[in-house]
Amino acid sequence: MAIRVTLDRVLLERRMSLTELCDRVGVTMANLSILKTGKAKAIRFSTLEALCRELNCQPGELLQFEANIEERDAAE
Amino acid sequence: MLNAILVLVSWFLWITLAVLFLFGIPILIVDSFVDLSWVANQTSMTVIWSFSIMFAIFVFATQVVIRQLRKIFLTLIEGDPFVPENAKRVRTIWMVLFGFEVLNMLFSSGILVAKQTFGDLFLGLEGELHINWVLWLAVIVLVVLAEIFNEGAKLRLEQKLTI
Repeated sequence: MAIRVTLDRVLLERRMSLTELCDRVGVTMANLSILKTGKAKAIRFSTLEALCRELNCQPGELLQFEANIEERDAAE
Repeated sequence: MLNAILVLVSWFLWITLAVLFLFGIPILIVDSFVDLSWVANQTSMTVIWSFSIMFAIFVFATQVVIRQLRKIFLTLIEGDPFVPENAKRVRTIWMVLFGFEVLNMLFSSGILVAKQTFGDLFLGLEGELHINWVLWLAVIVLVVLAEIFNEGAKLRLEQKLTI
């Protein structure tokens, strides 16, 4: 998928652990790990909203479009 | 309960298959040296063997179907039947039914041809070619169900990976 989740970078910038984010957002550790590792197929607006609120960021800071990833996926 | 019944049926079929091979193979060996026409009565050993092989295939096909049904049932007990594996299992079931019925039709037409060619060899055997409409309908229904299951499993996976 050409959409890359940059949650780890934002977490590092905010000096926040994944466990702390889990507690604040109310999403399980397993689900946040799926999101962080890029295995997620979709993200709910409510989850995105909660993440942006707790991390004090914009959705664009959490998601990134990378065309070359899409080309690589298509080649595979 | 249903699982227990399936296990019983499965065991019964395995035993039947074992008995068939335990008694069938020695008869085949003995038949090469000794005249066993008293066993055959009016039907030749070729016919007996043709039917034994068909029966063995039938038992094996039924075994495969029951095994797949049991696995599907176990996922149902676990509370998550919409998994991609179940779609594959339903697919296996219709493929086995389809394969067996095609084989059965080939076998029946083979008997018809052989009866016309050899005549006496197939005494007392009614070779008739009929289409089992109920089974073919079941195969079609299962094909559709397998594809629906496949789509359902994909949706389930997507839902599972929606955060």
